[in-house]
Amino acid sequence: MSLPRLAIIGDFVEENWPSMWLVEEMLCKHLQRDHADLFAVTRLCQPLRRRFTRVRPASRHL
Amino acid sequence: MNRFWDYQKLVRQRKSEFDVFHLIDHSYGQLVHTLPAAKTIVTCHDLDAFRSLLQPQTDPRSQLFKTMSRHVLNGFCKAARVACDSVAIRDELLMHGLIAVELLNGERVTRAGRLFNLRSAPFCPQMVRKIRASKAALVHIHLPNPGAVLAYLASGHRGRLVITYHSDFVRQKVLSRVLDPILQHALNRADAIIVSSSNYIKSSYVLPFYQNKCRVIPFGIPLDHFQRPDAAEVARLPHLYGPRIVLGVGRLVYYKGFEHLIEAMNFIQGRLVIVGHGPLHNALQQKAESCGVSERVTFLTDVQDVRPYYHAADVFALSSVARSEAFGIVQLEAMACGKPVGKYQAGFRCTVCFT
Repeated sequence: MSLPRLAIIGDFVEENWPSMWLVEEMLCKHLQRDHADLFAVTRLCQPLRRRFTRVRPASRHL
Repeated sequence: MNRFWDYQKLVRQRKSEFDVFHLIDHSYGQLVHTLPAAKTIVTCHDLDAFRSLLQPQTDPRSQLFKTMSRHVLNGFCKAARVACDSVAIRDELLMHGLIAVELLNGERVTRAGRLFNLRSAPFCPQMVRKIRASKAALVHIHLPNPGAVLAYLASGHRGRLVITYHSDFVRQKVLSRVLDPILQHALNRADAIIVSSSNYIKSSYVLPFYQNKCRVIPFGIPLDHFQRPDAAEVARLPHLYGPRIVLGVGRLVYYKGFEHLIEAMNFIQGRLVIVGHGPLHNALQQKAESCGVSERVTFLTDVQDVRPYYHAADVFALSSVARSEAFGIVQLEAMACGKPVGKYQAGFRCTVCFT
């Protein structure tokens, strides 16, 4: 029988929240080390798509 | 846009690949709208992300920000489980009625946040919505709890209603004049009223009118639990408190009548040990001093296991003096430990009564 598949969904890396990464990392480590027989753990994280930061402020061209 | 659009898109695309989901950050709660909420856990680190909604006066924000926060919060509240970084965060979530569900002895418990207390009675407006949302076939209310009665009646619940009637209004004379018609409405609506003793029905100023609905179900205690004390602790206590111990157990509140027990120590050789805490602690200590018995009266406010005290005592005293003490379950506990019980008969009688 296959194990329940657990998705751990973290913050955008680009948001720069070290404490959130730590929580995510510790949870993943703990589950993979101590409960590998209970869950198949996968980390899900969406890369940040920069949209508005590509548009340079007009003042820089002046 | 990334949080509300791109991330949403990712979880929508990939959710079929997983059975359970864990959101690391509560401020991504909007994702629960897309995920199967019943299979989603969210870790909550603090309530700052929702402060503009919970305490708008301390965190004023634009309407747009509040709308987004509301969307996140609604998603967060839908999650099946919330993991908290600390007990303080859990308590804050419960206080605001955000998660409102916890497990107690394996049962799901929903808590409604308290808005205020009126003469010790909690009023929880959220309870109206929670009763309605529960779609319960049967609602069971423990009285006196005027806030719960009001919430129940306002909820428009149409299923069965069972009321456990612990006590009349005893001290809240003015409040009871206002609330009695509402209470009567609930009792009229009830399918059954549970009372702990037949004597209480007879002596109540309310229950005789509903005698046909009343069912007597005395309280019970697990005998085995009280018959297996820590033997070493039982042997140690007489060394601490002497060979003749009179024991009182209960909250230090007016209706327990501990001041009478303290006065009575003038006529009794031995030591009175009172286990319990409450608002009258200082007043009772002063009473012991003024009666000249303070050296023979011990207050224990932090006892984890009361069983050795019952076993070490020579006699248990239930000094309750008011109808608020409708049953006195501590006397059952003392009897389960094989101790004689002395009690004051305060114009009311319980089924369990050894004078």
